[in-house]
Amino acid sequence: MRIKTIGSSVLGIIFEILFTVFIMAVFFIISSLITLARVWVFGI
Amino acid sequence: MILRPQINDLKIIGFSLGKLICALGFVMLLPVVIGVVFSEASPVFDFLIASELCFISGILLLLLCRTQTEIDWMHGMIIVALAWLVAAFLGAIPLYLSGHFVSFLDACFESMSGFSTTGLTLVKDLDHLSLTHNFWRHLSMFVGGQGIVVIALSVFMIKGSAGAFRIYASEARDERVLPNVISTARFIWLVSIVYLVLGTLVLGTVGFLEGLSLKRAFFDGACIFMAAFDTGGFTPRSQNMLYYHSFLLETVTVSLMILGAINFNLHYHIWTGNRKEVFKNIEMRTLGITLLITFAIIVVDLLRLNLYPQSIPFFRKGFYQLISAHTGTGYSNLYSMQFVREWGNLSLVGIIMAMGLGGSICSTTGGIKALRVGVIFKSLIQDVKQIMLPESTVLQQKFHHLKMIVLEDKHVRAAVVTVLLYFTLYSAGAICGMFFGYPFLESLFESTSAAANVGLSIGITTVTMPSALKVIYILQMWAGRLEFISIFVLLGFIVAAFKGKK
Repeated sequence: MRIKTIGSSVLGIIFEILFTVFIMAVFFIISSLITLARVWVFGI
Repeated sequence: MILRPQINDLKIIGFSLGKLICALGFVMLLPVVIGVVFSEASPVFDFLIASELCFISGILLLLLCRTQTEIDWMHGMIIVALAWLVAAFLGAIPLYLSGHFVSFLDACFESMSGFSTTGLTLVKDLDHLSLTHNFWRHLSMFVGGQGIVVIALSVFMIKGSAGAFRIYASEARDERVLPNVISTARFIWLVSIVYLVLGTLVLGTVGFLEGLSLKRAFFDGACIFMAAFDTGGFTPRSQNMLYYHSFLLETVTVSLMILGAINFNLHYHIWTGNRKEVFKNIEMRTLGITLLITFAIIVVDLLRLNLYPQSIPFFRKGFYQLISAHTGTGYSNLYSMQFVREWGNLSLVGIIMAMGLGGSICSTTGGIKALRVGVIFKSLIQDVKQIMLPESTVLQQKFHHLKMIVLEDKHVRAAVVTVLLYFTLYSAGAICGMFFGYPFLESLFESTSAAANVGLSIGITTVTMPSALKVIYILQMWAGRLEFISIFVLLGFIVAAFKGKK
C-alpha cells in the first residue's frame, strides 16, 4: 500500500511537471504563430 | 451589540501568539546554520540576537497568558492577524542589524514583503548582502508561503483540536486537504519539501552549467526555488532574473511558479492518482482562460509597439512577465523602467489585471484567486439562462471543484465580497500613490503588486519613496495576504475594547 502511494506520488510529480511544460509549450506555440503571422500576413 | 473583551480573551490570544513567536525563534536558527557553513560570523550573531528576542518574548507571553481555554473563531482570526504583524517586526531585526537598510521601517517592509510572499524590496546593495541574511529573506518567503500557522501546526505545538482548525482557516486558507488539520499542514510541508529538494537540484545544476561556482549555484538555486515555488519574487541578486540571462533558468522558474499557483488540494488529488481533476477543476479552467485573455492584451500591445519581433524574445519577455504576474511571483527579466519606457499602457493594464486576479485558493499566491472569478462567472451564466428560460423553470448551476458542487448564493456572496474588498484595496493604494505625486497607472501597478502579493515593480518602490507610502504598502501586503476578514475582526476587537458592552 505504501509502495503504491509513493509510486502514485512520483507519477503525480511527473504529471505536474509535464503539465507545466505543456502550458509553456502552448504559449510558446502561440507566440511563434503570432510572430510568423505578422511576417507572413502583414509583412512586418 | 459588541461585548467588551475579557481578560481571558487576551490570555488566549497571548498564549497562542507566544507559541507562534517561539516557532519563529526556531525558524531563525536555520540561517545560523547557513552562516556557520559559509563562515559568516557577524550575521550569525544577528540571527542569534533575533532568535533570542523571539524566545524571550514568546516565553514571557506563554508564562503571563497561560490558559487551557479553547480558541474560538474570533481568537483565531486575531491571533493570525497579530502573528503576521509580529513576525514581520521580529523578522526585520536581523535584516536591520545587517546594515543594508536605511531605517528599521525599510527592514520591516522587506520582512513583511518576505512573509507575505510579495517580493518588493528596499535592500541597499543586495549583491554585497551576506549569504546568511539573503537566505533569511528567501526563507521568510518559504515560511510565509506555507503559512506561519501551518508551520506551528505541523511541527510541534497546537493539537488537532477545533481551535487548531480555526487558526488554520483564519490564515486565508478556505480548504483543508485531509480531514485532520494537522495532517493537512504536514501534507502542505511534504509537497513543499519534495519540490524544494527537486527544485534546488535542478536550479543548482542549471546555475552551475551557466557558470556559477558549485556552492553559489546551489545556494542561489535554493533561494530561487523558495521564492519561485512560494510565488514570492525575491532573488539573491540585485537585477532579479535578468542577472542570470538564462533561458533554461527562466523555463525552470516558470514551471515552479505554475506549480506554486496550484491549490494544495489539487496537488493532493494529482498525487493520489486523480489526475483528470486538473482538466475538470473550475480553478484550473478559469486560470487558463484568464491567462489567455491577459496574454492576448499584452500580445496586442507588444505587436503594436513592435518591441520583440522574434518569437523567442517575444515569449521570454511577454510570457515570463505575464506568468510571473498571474501567479503572484514577481520575478522579472526586465528592468523596472522598461515597463514605463518601453511597454505601452495596454500591456501594463494586462499585467495589472493578471496581478489582481492571482492564482488558486489554498496555494501560495495572492490576489482575487481563480475560484472566486469562476464562481462569479458561473453565477452570471445562471442569471442569463434564468432570464432566457420560462419563469417557472428552476435552474441549478453546478461547478466542479474537487467534486461537483451546486452553486448557491452563499458561494457567490463570499466571492463577490472578497473581490470588492480587493478592488477597494488596489484602488486605495493607487489613490495614495497619486497623492504622493506618482502617475495613475504607475500607482495602480505598484498598489496592485503590493496588495496582490506579487512584487513586480514599476520603479515606485525605492529607498527614497515617502515613508508613509512604505507603511501603506506594508498594510496592503498584510491585508492582501490574510484576505481581510482576520484584519476586520482585529479592528472590531480593538473597537470593542473601547466601546463594547461590559
